[in-house]
Amino acid sequence: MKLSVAVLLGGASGAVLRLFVNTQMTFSQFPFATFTENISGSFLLGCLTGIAFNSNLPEWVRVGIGTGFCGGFTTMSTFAADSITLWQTSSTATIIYIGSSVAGGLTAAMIGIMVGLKLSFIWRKVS
Amino acid sequence: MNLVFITAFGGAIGAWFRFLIGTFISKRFSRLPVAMILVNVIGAFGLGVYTGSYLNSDLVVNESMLHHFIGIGFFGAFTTFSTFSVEAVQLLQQKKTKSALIYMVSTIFGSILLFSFGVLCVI
Repeated sequence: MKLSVAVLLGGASGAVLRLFVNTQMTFSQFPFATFTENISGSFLLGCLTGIAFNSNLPEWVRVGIGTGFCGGFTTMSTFAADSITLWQTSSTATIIYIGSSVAGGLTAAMIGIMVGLKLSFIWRKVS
Repeated sequence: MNLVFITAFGGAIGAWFRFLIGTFISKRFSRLPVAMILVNVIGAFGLGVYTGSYLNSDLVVNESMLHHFIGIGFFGAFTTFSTFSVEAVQLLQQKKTKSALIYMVSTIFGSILLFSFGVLCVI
């Protein structure tokens, strides 16, 4: 019950923030908005994963921020839709979009995990 | 304001469905994050069906409540890219290179193919 509430609230705020970023970034045919959301969300979830690895973060925090917020902020369905829309104007741009999203998402997640681990170590020393 | 509220509502339900499917499936498979592959390809298919059906109608898509609820809110939040990135990195860190490649290819191309298939199903 507590976990479900955390997911519902996290998902709602993630989706609203995604809507906000979408409305701020409409300057080009290239889906910069989805790209930015997916990369930054991957970084944030990486941080959370790194922190959780080394400390006993309450489960509702992990689920609320991770599954709810990061999951709701990033999106695979719009990524797929963007790829098909972009394909109709430029196949090169589509390949760049897919490649940079995947490579960028994984790199951001990896850096996030390392940052999260560092943070959790500092946290432990302080507390 | 209404559009923000309806997006939040769709997003909450979408994320919650993903959470339920995730907890239900992840206990049954261990080698591959099957739950997230399924959630992402099913969500992409769903968005495809929705996109295909509004292509045929004369709704003013981007401003509609329905679009914010289903397209941006529900399917946007039901599917996820962040979990995909983190799970792929974790598989690579565990030296499960083959699983990582299968996971990445099936999620990315599966989502794109199933989105197109969803559109084609209704137009």
